[in-house]
Amino acid sequence: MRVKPGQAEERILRIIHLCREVEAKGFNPFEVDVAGELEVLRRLLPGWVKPSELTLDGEALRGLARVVELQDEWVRARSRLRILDPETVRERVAELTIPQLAEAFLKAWRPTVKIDFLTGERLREAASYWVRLKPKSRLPEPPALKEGEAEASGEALKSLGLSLSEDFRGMLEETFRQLKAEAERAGGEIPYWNFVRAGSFRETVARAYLVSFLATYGYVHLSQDRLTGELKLKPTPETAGKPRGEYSLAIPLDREGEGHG
Amino acid sequence: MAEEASYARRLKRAAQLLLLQRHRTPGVKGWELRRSLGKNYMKIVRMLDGELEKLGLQVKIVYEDSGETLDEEARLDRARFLVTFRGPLPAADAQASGWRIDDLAALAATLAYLASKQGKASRSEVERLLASKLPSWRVSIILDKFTRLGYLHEDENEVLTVGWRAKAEVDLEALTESLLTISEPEVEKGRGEA
Repeated sequence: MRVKPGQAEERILRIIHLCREVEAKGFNPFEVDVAGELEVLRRLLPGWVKPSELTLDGEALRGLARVVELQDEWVRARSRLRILDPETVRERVAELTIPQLAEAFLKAWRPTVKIDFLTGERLREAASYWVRLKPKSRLPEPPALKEGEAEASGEALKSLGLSLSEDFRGMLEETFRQLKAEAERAGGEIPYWNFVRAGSFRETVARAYLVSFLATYGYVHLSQDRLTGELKLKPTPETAGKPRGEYSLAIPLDREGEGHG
Repeated sequence: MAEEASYARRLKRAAQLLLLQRHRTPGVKGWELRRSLGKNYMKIVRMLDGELEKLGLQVKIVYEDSGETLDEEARLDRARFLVTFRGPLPAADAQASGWRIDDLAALAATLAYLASKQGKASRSEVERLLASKLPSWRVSIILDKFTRLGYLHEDENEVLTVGWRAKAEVDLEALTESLLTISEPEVEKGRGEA
């Protein structure tokens, strides 16, 4: 079959363009009929005389060789997909950077599309909620104390020889030192009442107050035996200064100097 | 003529049901569509999908993993129908979506790992995988967030599976392919386009 020179050049340029498109746009390289295009080049070759024509032939051949290379890569990637195992994922996650991983996700992400809207009913609900809101300047009422409960006033604390001042910090440190020493002697922990009970009711209340601070701020761990109800104190210098706050425990005191907790 | 008008009316209604968020989770269940659109609601859904294609969107159906053997009608009744993008999100839009880049990276790694493990893996395994890339204090927070948003599901034995939202929004095959084939120049190109 004889092809006119102009048509032959057009044909070979089309092959070069096709190979470039496959590489640049990432089309499936198997879309190119490599064997068919090589046959075309073979048939056209005897007609080429000028160096420019031979250069075009060489370029087309190089393009087809690149397509074969892309086909190889494509098959490798596909076969890896089929045998995608956890180890391969771990390796790829280790190899890729955060932006590369995010880029991989964006290529596969088809986000949900939704429209938020407001109905008359929701607007009515919102208006009713707004009307019921208390002004920010009006602070909520403190909860009423239950029967038998009393709030320790500043005056009451002073009468116990306590105040939230620098002295108080010193008293806390002193109490903690005593507690550590006694616990160490007792093998790590001591019964709560053995430590808190003092010569007078006033001193017992003051000591209980200081221990409650130490327990709240992580200096000491207060535990209760579930069977006997016995309370124990264990110094925890490793958590000192870290407020616990998981639970609270009310320990009643009576005037006999012994609690029932 | 009357039939055409009826289809047009039901098409509009289907679009409203699927796009307007009524519940905390997006989309509607098949039984809700059947109740509003009639017995042949799937025909309307397919018509709507055709219309949405022109806008680069699609109707996505996520079937429920109940473990029961159900006929197609019952499966569709329980399935969640929602509208998603038809193709990938442009990089510029992704930046505006409010997601942190390390969250996207963590979700890519987690879902690819789950895919490689036939859809499920223990939470501790996934935590170890992510801790190789992110500070460990972030890992747990991120996994809880993905679970809350529906991208992951965690059972009482702390086993993670692909959540309903990932099934709807993430093309797992495309994810694993891009994870395996992505290279540095490609990332640079992506940034350039953004």
